[in-house]
Amino acid sequence: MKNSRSPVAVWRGRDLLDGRVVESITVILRTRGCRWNRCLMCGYAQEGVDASAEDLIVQLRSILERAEGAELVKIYTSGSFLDTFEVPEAARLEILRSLRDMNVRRLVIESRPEYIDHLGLEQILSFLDVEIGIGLESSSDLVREHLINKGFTFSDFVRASDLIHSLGGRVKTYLLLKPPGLSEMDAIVDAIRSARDAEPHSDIISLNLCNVQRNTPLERMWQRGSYRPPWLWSAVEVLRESSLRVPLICDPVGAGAKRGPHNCGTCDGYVADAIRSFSLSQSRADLNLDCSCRSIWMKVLELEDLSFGTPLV
Amino acid sequence: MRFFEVLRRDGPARLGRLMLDRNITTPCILSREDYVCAGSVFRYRNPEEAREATISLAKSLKDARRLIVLPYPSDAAKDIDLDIDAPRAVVTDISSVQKDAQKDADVYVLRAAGTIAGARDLVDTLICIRESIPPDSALYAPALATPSNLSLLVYLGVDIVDSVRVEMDGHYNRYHTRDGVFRRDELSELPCMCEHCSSGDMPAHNILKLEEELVWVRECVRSGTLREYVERQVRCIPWMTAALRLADRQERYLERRTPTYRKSVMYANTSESLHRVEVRRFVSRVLTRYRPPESDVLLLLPCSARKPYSESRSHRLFRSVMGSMRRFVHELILTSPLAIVPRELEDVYPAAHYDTPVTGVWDLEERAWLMGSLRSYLERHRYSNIVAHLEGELCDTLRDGGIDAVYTGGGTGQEELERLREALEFACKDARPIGNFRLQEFRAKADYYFGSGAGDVLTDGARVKGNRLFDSSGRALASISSGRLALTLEGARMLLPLGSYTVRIGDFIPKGTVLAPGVVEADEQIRPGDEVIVVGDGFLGAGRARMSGWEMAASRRGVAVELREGAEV
Repeated sequence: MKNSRSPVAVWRGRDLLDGRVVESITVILRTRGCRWNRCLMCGYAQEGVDASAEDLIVQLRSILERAEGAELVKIYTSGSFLDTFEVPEAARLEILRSLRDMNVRRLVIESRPEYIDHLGLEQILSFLDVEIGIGLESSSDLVREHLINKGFTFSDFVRASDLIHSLGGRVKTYLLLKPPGLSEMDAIVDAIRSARDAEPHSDIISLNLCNVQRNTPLERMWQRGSYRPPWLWSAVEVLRESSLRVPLICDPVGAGAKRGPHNCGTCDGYVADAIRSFSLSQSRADLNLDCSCRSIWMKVLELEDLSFGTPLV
Repeated sequence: MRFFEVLRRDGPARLGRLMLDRNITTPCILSREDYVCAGSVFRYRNPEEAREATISLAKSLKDARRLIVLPYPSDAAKDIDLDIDAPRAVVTDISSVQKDAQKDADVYVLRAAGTIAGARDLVDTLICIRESIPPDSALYAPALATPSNLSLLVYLGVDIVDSVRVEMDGHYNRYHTRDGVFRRDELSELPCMCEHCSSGDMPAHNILKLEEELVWVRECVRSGTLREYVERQVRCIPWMTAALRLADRQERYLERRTPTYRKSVMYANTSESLHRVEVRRFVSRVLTRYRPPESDVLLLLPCSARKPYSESRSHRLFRSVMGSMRRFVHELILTSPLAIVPRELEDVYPAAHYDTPVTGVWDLEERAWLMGSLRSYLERHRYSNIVAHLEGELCDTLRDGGIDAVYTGGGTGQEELERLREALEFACKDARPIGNFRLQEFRAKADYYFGSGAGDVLTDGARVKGNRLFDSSGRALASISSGRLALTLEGARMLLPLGSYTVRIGDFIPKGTVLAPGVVEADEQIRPGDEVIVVGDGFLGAGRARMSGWEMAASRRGVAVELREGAEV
C-alpha cells in the first residue's frame, strides 16, 4: 500500500566524501513524482502519491533516528527535489532545518535542470553543503532526445551546473549506461564519451546501469527481445577506461537479475562487488577481474556491430 | 547506376546479382568485408558527424566497390544521404520504410530483424517491407538467419542474410542444424561429421551449416522448387509452419510474384499445398476465363499418376472406349489439389506438372475444395447429361454432394469399361457434336492465358495443323508446346485490341530482350512466364515475361521480356 506518510525506501550505506569513506543514509521520499515523467526507461513516477508538505515532513521525521551518525545524507524523490510542485517550499525548509541541526556534512539531492534557479539554490546552500545530482544520462543530445526522451539538452545541463558552482554547490552527474537502442559497444563508447564531456561540469560522476523497470516503454522492448540490460563487463570497461580527475562511481543496482545489469549468472555477484569496491577506492586494481563469459561479452561487442539493432542474447 | 539485379523469380523468392568487387549471387550470406558502415548515428555527436564519417569511409574505399550502409536509424539520422555513385544500403524498419523507400537504395537493411519473434511478426514485417521498397532492391535481414529458417526467409522475399546469429549462438553453446537449434549438452551424439564438430568449434560448425543450407536454397530457387522445399522444412518447428500458413493468406503478395510456368514437378504433399497460388489460380482461371465448348454431355474422369493424363494407361483405355463418341463428349478430370481440369487444359502448368500422394482417401478439406469448384463450374455451364466414371471416395463425394450424374462405378476392367461405354452411348443420343478438339484446345488455352474472349478472336475461322494454328489465309497465328501458347506476330496483332498481356515500350527497337527501363507501361496481370505482346511506336513483338507487369513498371534493372518474335511495323 502506498502511504503518503512513509518514504519509498531508506537504507544505510558507505560512500565517498571528499576522498574519505563515510557512513551515509539514503531516503527516497514519496512525492507526486517527476513532473516530466516521459523517459523511456523510468518507472519511478508509479511510486508517487499526492503527498502534501506535511506528509513529506512526516516522512522525513520517520527516518531521522536511522540517520544518526550519517555524515552524508541523500534525499531523493524519484523526481526533482527542487520542483516545488513535488516538494513544496515549506517541506523543503523543514527538511533543510532538521538536517542542519544534525551533524550532517553534506546533503545530496537530485533535480532536473529546469528547476535549478538562483533563488532556490541560494536558499538551500544557506543551510548546508549541498550536492545536486542531475540526470544527464548522456552527453549526446541525439541519444538523450531519441533514446531516452529526457527533454533537456547538454547546454541546459551546463547552464545548471555553472549556476550551482557559482553559488558554491557541488554537482553530481548521473550517466546512464546503455539506454535502449544502443549496441553494447555503442553504449560503452557513449558512456565514456559522456563521462569525459561531463567531467569539467561535475564534482562526481555516477554511472547508472540501466535496468528494466515495470510498465515502461523499455520493459516492452525488453519483453520483445529488443533490449538487453548492460553486461557488468561493460560497466567495468567504462569505469576502467574513463580515467577522470573527478570520482567515477557506480552502484550496480539489480546486478545479476534478468532485468538488471548482468553477465553469465555465475560471476555477477563477484563483479558487482568489485564495482562497489572501485566506487569507494577509485583504484583500477579493483577491476582486474575475469570469468569465462568475458570472451563471450567481447564477441557480443564485435558481432552486435553487425546486427543492426538486434541484441545478441 | 544500380548495383542489384533480379535474375530469376520463384514466388517472392528471387535469384539476383549484387555487383560489388565480387559479383555476389543472392540469396547470399553477406560478410563484413562486403560493406562499410559508419554505424548507428548515436555513435556520433550529431547527424553531420555521422555523415562525414560515412563520406570518409566511402572515400577510403578508393576504387574498391563495397556496399555503403548509410547511418541509421533514419528518424535520428534525419536525411543523411550521399551523392555518390556507389552501391548504397539504407537501414529501415516498418515505421520508416515508406519514407526510406524513396531513397532508392540498392539494398534495404531491416533494422533489428533479429528481434522478430513469431510467425505473424515475421510474415507481416517482411511483407510490409518488401511491398514498400522497390522490387529491384535487395532486402537484407541481419542477425536473423539460421539453417532451419533460411528457406522460409528466402521464400518470403529476403535476398541477403548473414551468419551473425549462428556465430553468436555458437559462443552460447547453441548447436544449429537444418532441423533446428539444440543445446550442445542435450545431444548425446553430434549429427554432423564436419571438422569443426570434431574440433569443438561450434560457431564455425553453425556457419558451415548455414552456408550449406544457402547453397541448397539457391538451387531450389533456380529449379523452381523452393515452395516444395519450404513446405517440408517448416515442419521442423510449429511457428514456421504457422508462418507459411499465414503467408498463404496474404494471397495478393504471393500471387503477384508467382510465375505461371515452371519446368519442375509441383509436389502437393501437404495441407498447405491446397492453398498454393498455382492451385488457386488454376481453378480461378478455369472458372472465370475458360469457356468450355458448347456441349450436351460431360464426362467426369479421375486423374492419373502420369501427366498429361491422356498419356496414362487409364485415360488411353477411356479414350478407346469412347471411340467416335469423343466428338460429343466434353471431359473434365477431377483431382486433388487442382479440383477440375478440362481436357483441353490438361497440359498447362501445373495440370501436367503436379504429383500428389494418392491413397483413395479424400479428406474433408480436399472434398470441400473439389465440390466447391465443381459446383461453381456446373452453375456456369449446363449439360443435359453427366456421366461420372469415378470410384471409391471420389465417387461418394460427388454422390453425397448431390451431383446429378450417371454413376458408372468407375474402373478400368473390361466390365467396368463396358459400363462406361453403355452410359456414354445412352448420353450421346441426340447430342450436339462439339467440333474439332485441336481447335478447342487453342481456344481454351487462349482464354486461359489471355482472358475470356481471346480464344474466339484467335480461332475464328482458323485451322490447326500439327501443333500450330493458321488463319483462313494460311498465316501462322500461334503454336502450342508443353501446354504453353506461343504467339506469332500475326497472332499478337489479332490479340492486341483486347489490350491484355501487353507491354508498352518506348521509342526503340528491342533485340532479343526488353529491359525493364524500356518498359513504359505493362498490364498488371502479367506474371513471370506469361506470353506477352510487346508493342512500341514502330514495333510489335511477342515473348515470355520474365517479371510481373507491376515489377516491369517499377524496376530500372533486369530483363522484363524475352522476345521470341519481333519486327518493326
